Amino acid sequence: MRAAAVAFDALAKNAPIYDWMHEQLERAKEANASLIVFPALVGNLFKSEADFIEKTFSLSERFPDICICPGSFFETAGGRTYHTSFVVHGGKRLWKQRQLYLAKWERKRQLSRGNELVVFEMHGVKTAIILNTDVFYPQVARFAAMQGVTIVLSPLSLIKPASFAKQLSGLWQNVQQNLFFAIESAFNGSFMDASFHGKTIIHAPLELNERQNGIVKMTDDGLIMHDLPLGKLDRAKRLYNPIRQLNIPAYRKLF
Amino acid sequence: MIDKFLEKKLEKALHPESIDAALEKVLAHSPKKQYIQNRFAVVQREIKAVRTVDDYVNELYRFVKEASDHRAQYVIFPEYNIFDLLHLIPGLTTLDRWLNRRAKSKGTSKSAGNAHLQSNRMLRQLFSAVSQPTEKALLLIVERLARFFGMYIFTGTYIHKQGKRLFNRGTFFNPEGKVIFSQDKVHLTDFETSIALARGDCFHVIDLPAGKAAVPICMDASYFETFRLIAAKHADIVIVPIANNEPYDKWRAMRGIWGRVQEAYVYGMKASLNGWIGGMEFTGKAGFFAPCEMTENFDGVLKIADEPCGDEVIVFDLEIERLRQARNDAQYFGDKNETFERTHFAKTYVTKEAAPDAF
Repeated sequence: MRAAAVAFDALAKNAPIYDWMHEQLERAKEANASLIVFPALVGNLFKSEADFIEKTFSLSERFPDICICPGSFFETAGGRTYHTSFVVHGGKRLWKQRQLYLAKWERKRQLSRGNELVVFEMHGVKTAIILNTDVFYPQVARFAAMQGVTIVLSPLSLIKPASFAKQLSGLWQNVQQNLFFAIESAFNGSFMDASFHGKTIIHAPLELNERQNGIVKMTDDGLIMHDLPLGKLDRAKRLYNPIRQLNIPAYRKLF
Repeated sequence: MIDKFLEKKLEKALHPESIDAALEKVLAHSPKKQYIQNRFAVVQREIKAVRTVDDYVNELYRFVKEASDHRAQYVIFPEYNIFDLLHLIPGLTTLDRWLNRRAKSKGTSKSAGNAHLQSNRMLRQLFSAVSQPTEKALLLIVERLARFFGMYIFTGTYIHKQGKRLFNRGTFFNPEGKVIFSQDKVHLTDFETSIALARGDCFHVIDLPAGKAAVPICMDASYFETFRLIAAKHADIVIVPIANNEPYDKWRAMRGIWGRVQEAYVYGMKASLNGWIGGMEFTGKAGFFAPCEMTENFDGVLKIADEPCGDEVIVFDLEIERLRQARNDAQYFGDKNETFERTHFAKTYVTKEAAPDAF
């Protein structure tokens, strides 16, 4: 499976966000990618929530061979606001994920939490969206791993002050503790009086990339792609798999 | 038979009178004991082929002395701090040299680790045979050093025999030479599982003058569950003795305490063993870690050894109030989702049979 991740920096002056997404999808299509992940908060750059969803469906119809995780947006439902992401394919929304944990800046804006982590099969591979702040709560990734998740889609908006190390302490750590692949797409810029900075990274367990650092591809700008070696994951797990040595009886008082 | 023979040989070499005599030689001048209460010293030490118990006493003494000279109130030794003592078994040093030469000439693959020596029934027998004499010796030496220097000392870990079960255990002594607590390793490596070590089932948190602390052991730091359990008991300081059985690699090392400190917003420190024994290579940098926000380069590293091999004592002063402030200010820490946690706990911690894809 060829996966793509997109870094968001500033848009060209007056350029619609839709055109930017379209351009990335064109490039992904040319390279035969079957999956693309956009950065967190991108949905909030559209005119409205409805506009974002409608345009995302429209893009999905135009690129029917690509599963699209269009980043995230603030979803209003039942008088509450959630930080939400989803996957569209063939013009239909297939799976939706509300962020489970909130950062301090999100709590200040009185966002609400989702209640469940949705595990789904995408192109026959168990997948989950671990959205933004949830990467810093390792119980989320552990839950995904124990459901057999192989690919994690992760739109990110890391609030400043941030650093590469801070970012690695999120999803990178989760990949190494749980041994799955992850596509992390970072939002760079300002939103609601806050500034965000992060790198866009395709992650793999250390044992599965040549430099043995778990970072398969990385960028600050533009699109990165990689063929995920799904068939090699079992080999990596044979070499190093902390899940094998979980001491479940010791976790009685974990939560 | 062979294990009884080895046990007897070690008991003789590590007789308490011999240890006392060795200690008498080094514990001559009283230290000043003007320690800084929040200053910790973590030991990075190389496995030595000691020839007598005097060598081993000298070895531990000089690390404690160095920490004392730095006015550290606490000294932390690494995991498997008793490996030197295996060299007191007749013939083992020769065998060890041969095994190490062979392993070095074959080269150790980073990805394969030291699998060629794993699952070894003889090693289980060896660990069983040496457990009691080495435990007694280490506890006696550290008890005396703690009392003499007036310091808190963590022994590093040793093999503790309880009935037929063997644990990887470490013990903390206070400045009066009294045991504060012992901690068993809760998460084993595949190698330790292959030699049938038993697992501990809980993490102790203790009140030290510097703050509440816990001492999970090596692989325990590869699990977020460890630090979450410890943090739930309000620990601010997590001390991790390690003996990492693979060539050093920064990224591999980052899978341990560094990441857990970022997740749990605690101070972390690591004492490490390095060198070769039985054809196995151990590496690791001792050091101190804190949440990224508290570190100069925003990288989570307060102080770390220059090299992953050799002897070094790393010293650092913890600032618990500053840590609590960082925790309080943290963007990505401290939120709760009781619905998610309650509902999904049962689905997450399941057996291999129930979740084969995860294993």
